[in-house]
Amino acid sequence: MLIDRQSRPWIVITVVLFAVATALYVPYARSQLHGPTGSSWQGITFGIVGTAFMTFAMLLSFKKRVRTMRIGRAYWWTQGHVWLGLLAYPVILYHAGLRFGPAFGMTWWLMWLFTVIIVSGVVGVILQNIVPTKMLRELPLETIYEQAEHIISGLQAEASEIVARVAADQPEEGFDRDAIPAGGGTSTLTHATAVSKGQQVLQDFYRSEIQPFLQPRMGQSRLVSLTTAAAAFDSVRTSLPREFHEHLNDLQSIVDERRQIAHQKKMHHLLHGWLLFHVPLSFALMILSVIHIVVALRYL
Amino acid sequence: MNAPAKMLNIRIDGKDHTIPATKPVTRTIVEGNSERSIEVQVPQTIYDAAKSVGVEIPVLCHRDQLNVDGTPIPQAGVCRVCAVEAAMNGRADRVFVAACCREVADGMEIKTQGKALNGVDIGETRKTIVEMLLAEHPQPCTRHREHRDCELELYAEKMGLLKPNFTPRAVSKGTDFSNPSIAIDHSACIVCERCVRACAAVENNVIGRMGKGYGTAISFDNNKPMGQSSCVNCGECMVACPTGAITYAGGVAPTPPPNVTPLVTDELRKMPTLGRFFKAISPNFLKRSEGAVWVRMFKKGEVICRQGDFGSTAFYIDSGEVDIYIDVDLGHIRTKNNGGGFFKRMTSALFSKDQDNRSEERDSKSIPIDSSGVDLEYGKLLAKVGEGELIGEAACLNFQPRSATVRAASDDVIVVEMLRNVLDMLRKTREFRADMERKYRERALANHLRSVPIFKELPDAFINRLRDRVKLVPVEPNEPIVKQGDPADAFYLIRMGHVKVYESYADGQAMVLSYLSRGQYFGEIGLMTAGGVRTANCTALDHVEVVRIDKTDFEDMIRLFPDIKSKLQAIADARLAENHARATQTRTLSLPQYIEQGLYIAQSLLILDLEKCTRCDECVRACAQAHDGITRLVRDGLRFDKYLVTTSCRSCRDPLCMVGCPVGSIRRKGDLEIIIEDHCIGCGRCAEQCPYGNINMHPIGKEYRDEATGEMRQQRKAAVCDLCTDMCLTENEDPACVYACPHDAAHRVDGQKFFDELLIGSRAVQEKIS
Repeated sequence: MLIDRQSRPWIVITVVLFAVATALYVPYARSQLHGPTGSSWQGITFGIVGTAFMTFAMLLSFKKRVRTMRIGRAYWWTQGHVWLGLLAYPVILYHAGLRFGPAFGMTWWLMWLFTVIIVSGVVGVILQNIVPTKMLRELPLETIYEQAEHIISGLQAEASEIVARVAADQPEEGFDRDAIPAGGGTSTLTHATAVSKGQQVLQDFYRSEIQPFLQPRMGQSRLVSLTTAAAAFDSVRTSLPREFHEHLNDLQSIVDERRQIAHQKKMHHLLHGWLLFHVPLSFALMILSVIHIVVALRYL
Repeated sequence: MNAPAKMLNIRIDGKDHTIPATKPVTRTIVEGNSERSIEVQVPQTIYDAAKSVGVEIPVLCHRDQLNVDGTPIPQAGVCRVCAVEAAMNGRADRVFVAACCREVADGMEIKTQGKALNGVDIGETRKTIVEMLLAEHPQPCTRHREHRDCELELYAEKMGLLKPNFTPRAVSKGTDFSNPSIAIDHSACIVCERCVRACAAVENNVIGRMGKGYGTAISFDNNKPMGQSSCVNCGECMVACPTGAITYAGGVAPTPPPNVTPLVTDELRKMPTLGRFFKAISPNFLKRSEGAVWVRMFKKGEVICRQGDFGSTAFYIDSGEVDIYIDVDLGHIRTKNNGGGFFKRMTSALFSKDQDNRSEERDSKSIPIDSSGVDLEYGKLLAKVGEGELIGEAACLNFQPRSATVRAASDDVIVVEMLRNVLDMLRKTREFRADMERKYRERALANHLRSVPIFKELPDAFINRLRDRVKLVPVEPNEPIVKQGDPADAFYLIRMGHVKVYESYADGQAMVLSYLSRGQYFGEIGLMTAGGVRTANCTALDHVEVVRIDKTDFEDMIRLFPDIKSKLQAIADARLAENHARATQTRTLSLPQYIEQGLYIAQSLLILDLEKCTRCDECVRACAQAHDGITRLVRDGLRFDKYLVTTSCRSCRDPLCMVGCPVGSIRRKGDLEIIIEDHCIGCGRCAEQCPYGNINMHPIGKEYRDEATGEMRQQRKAAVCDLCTDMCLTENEDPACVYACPHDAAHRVDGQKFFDELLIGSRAVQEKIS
């Protein structure tokens, strides 16, 4: 969890710095006849401080490239990234006088980009607070994400081996005690017939439902849902002789594991997908910020 | 102390003898899904007693050396060829008794030949029995025709019964050729039930009797053709059969490698060196195993086998000399801080024990290898062995990698290469065993004993004395060697295989104390302390051979050499103290999962708080960055509560990584940490064995050309987590994996301390809820 008891000092520092910035900004904004601007010395100060915070936040990616470097724990850098990055937004807003600038102009683009980055960052923090706990509860068979495809191919092989074993089972001639109708009477179904019928049912179920479900890209299937899958397996179970039930249970476990891998993939994408917005946009923001600084200083 | 065996006074053929009332035999017992062998005392039979005093009684349905995997097949007493007279107080039994079944009693008078008390000639009676059996038997049967070793016909020839007086059977009892590799001739069967018992001994239980009277015969699965029965073709029945009733039919021979011509049965039996041993094996078995033995010739410099390869064959050096060597840089991996200020990281390098002596580093200079005669030494990684030596026995029997490379040292090297089934059968023959034992005593015992550091100073005189007194004891897989609580009566040195040492507790739990391999020893604690009682169980994990030094010799040794005594005493005390500490830890804990996962015993666990971990793998990358790009950590493992106990060495209670190391280079230190000795050959067996994937193979050191594939390869060494010790500035500083975790999810903790607190917390919560 990114926000917990250990984050308290960072929250306090952030709140205090925000309060100080606001306390400085309000009298400054009131004193300006035409409203606050980024080119005033107060505005530039806010800009410098905000850019410093942004730069610090950016340094996290550098720190992650030199992991063994003893320049503070990665956790410390991450906390700094979250809280100072968040604080940079109001400070930059104060720099801009709480305005985004003319539509489609440089500052307009910068502010919107920054807003999207902050929002994606906040979403990321929320997801990182929620999703790991959810994964812990819902994915008892969680595996290494990169190995998912390998495990899926293992599951395919295992399932096909089980079905082949069932198909190779040669029933002995004999009377099927379980096939005697309720209330007595003589069964017309010999054990061998029951076995051969069961083999057919299991093979059909495997080919039509299980095999497609175990593919790397599983399509629409009733096995996707735990409840409908359980119902499907129960229905097949009633058509099988008792000796095949264990094999069916094994297949059901395999299907459950495959479903869990699919669920893990979704969770993984959720947990890391936001970075696809956050990271490139952050780099774009930094490049645009540099251009903005150069242009501002050049034409000030 | 062993209770003294009860002695019996008996008279055999007029001579008085005093013999023990019982003899030890091995029995297999099944416990749940596992089985183990135990030694039990059974009453001596007349046959055993006579044999022990040198009186031979002929037997046919019984064969005392008949066993399956070391478990003797019980006697049946159905053929009556061993008929003898047994009398008590001058009164004989009404009929002659079967010597193989009848137990001896105190004061018994036994007659194996000559006139019985009732005037009947015992030899003639026996002759009549053989004659009657012969009447039902084709003469010669398939076996006698091909190999001249049908036991019934050999007896008949010995007794001069060339043609029985009884009318032979008019109608054949039939044949069964439904099995592709085993042929059944019911006419040659004397229903001795050896096959039935052999089949039952391997728990197949396919063969039984059918019919009655004249029509009695053996049957498979209640009279199915053998080929359609549940027979698994193990061939034990064929090996057990004394006649030509069950013979090899060809068809399912082992597949030899290309470019070799396997030897056929006759060639095997005529071999100048090994021939006499093959003659002691059933020709049926040899026939069935044709393709499992072949001869190869090597010129000087040619490689016979390579270290680290898996092989299913053993090599008998028929002539010439070979070099055995391990091609490896001696040393262990040490990751060292190479400076660089903020940008510092560690680099790995090989250090020998002289350069970097780790705590509890073994001071042995001996490297155990898979050869009957030699071990290697640290200063000299090459040994020469010659004619009559067996190499690769452990790799063949126990499926472990080759411990060394073997190369022809002369131009005339002839090697007999054999597959496991033949080696296994050879080892069961008395002649081969005696030969191997003799060579071991003559050539290897002294070196083997001196390879143990505490015995290094033993003088030649004492070793010579031991040479004739020690016993080489083969032990089958899962067979107990010593049992906790038993009186200590011997000291053991391991010659081959792996031994598991474990303590059993009253609640049914067991704790593995150690796995021992070639060159290691056990049994000294019971002999030196604890009132002469075994303090732990020692069980063979695979095919094991131990050198047994009896208590009296051991006591002489420690009496004559006080220095050895004091060293052994120190080791015994230290082992006892460790065992006691572990037992105390175990008894204080309750949660099975906690114990099963070995969390309580781990000195330094890397745990990931899964409520915080975002699966970013920064810890893994940091570990790789700190160790030359090779991670020693995988973000996977067992879960306990909300924690993932990741795969980095955790000093388990059952360190399976130690099982199967062909050179015994991985072991546990006193503090349970794993240490990999310098002579690791990089075969990767420990990495495969570790159930948690905590051992990594680190490419390091010299490169070499793989002669099999022609590719360049780099030598590898096994490595476990080093906690980045050399990179941390202070003792309390975090290793790279923890330091690089951006979410404070990774922690290094002391297993017992951390989880005890957790358990106390959860118990408190549970109590509140209840």
